[in-house]
Amino acid sequence: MLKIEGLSKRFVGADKTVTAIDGIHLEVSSGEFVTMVGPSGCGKSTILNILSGLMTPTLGSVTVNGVPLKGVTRDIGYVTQQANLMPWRTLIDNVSFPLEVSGVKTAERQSRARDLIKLVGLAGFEHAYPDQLSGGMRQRANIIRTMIYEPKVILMDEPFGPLDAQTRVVLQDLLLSLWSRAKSTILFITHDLQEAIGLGDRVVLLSARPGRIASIEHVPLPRPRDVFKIHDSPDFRALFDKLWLELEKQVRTE
Amino acid sequence: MTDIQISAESGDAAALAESARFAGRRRRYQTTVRLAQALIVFFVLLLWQFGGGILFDAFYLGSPRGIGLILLNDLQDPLFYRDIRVTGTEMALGYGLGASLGIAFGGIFARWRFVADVFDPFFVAFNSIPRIALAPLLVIWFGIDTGAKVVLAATLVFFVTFFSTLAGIRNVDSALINVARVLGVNEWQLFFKVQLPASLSWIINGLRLSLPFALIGVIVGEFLVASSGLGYRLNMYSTTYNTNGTFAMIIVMMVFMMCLNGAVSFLERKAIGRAPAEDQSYLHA
Repeated sequence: MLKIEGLSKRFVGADKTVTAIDGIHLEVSSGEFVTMVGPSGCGKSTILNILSGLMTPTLGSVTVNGVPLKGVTRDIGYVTQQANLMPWRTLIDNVSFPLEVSGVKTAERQSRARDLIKLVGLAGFEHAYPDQLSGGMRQRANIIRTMIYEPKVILMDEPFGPLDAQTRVVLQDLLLSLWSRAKSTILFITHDLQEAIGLGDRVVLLSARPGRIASIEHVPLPRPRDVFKIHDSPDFRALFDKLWLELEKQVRTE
Repeated sequence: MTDIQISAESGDAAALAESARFAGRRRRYQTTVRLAQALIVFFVLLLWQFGGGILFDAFYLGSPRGIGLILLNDLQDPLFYRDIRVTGTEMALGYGLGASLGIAFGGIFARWRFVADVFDPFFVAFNSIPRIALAPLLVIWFGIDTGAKVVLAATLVFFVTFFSTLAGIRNVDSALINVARVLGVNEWQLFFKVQLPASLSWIINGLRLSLPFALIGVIVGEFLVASSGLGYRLNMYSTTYNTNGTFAMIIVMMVFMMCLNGAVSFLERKAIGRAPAEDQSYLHA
């Protein structure tokens, strides 16, 4: 599905060159939920900016179903850390925006947006403006704005980072149900190891700068998962401890 | 138990009384401000009216009564309404022309970096010309009637709306633009569905700031050469040393401008009443 080969990015400045990521190899299969964790400054955002087509890599290639990635494409969705809703548009107009720009008729895009809005518990807020919504509500809108046009791969850049702990778990649960319903392929970046294990089929651990893949772990937890209780499971604890040791090493070398 | 309830009720009552006192205090303050303003106007008028001949020469400063008489006289003169109509029309045309070109060019410059870089020094140079110096040339080109005044007003309005539109579009959060690109907008949609609405408050601000310039342009044009219009009327009074008449026209223009400003503020509230484009704090929250 998504194939990343030898991806590297160097930023050339006036007095020094920074290698943000170096030789990333990763294959994500269709319908898989892959999470990425790493110390801050490990080039997580650089990886997503390249995969979304907003940035070009210095070396390496990205293919989606064998087709090389060239710039921004509707095959790849990108849920950013900030909701970035358009302040002058109502919730429903924000959510249906991707369909609007691709020429879907008003009635259809409104009904599709309404369904998703209901699904994430925002019914009744269709005509509210972003500044009338809470952070968690805006982030729900951000996620379904991408889900509505059904991209093959959805990239997520710490979408729950700015939220409080409770809202976070509620949205993790919501994301898992959206994912199993839409059968999308997700590459989810976070700095929260618990979140990475709780959500992912596989956890990719990145090293400190320059970002390389330090290890990839399969998560042996069955689906569907209960993100509210998953932390009690011994399998969870074992994997957490293992990855934490590894992550600690990376954080210390930084 | 009953005691507690009573005290709770009296607590509510106290809070209510407190907020009523606050509201009352605010109203009284407002009244005092208005009263002070009325007193200032009253004493200035009093001094102006009765100081003539004692404190200053009424020939140079006129008098409120004289101004009032001229205003009353003008308000019955059909030619006065013709002059308002002429000035109003020239202003509307100049404003419309200048503002629409300003917004269009602001958009073009914001979108095409190359165009902006090439033309930037020319725009800066042209904007440095005192527009009044341009007026005689405009009269030669566009005649002594409406044309020259419209163009003069338009050149003033153009730059204000142009620069605010350009700044507005350039200041649109790049995160918002990147998100829109990922969501699949083409360049055309990016401009009309993202950049333009996101900079609406800047554009409207430019429209409001440029409004007085439209009047300035027209009045200067009428001042120079005209056979009608408020500027012509002002010129007519001042060249005959009629200070009362001159003041009367200044007051008419002031009221005229205040009405227009009020209208624009009203439209502004309507347009961005529920779209606080300038408040983008949550984009970075």
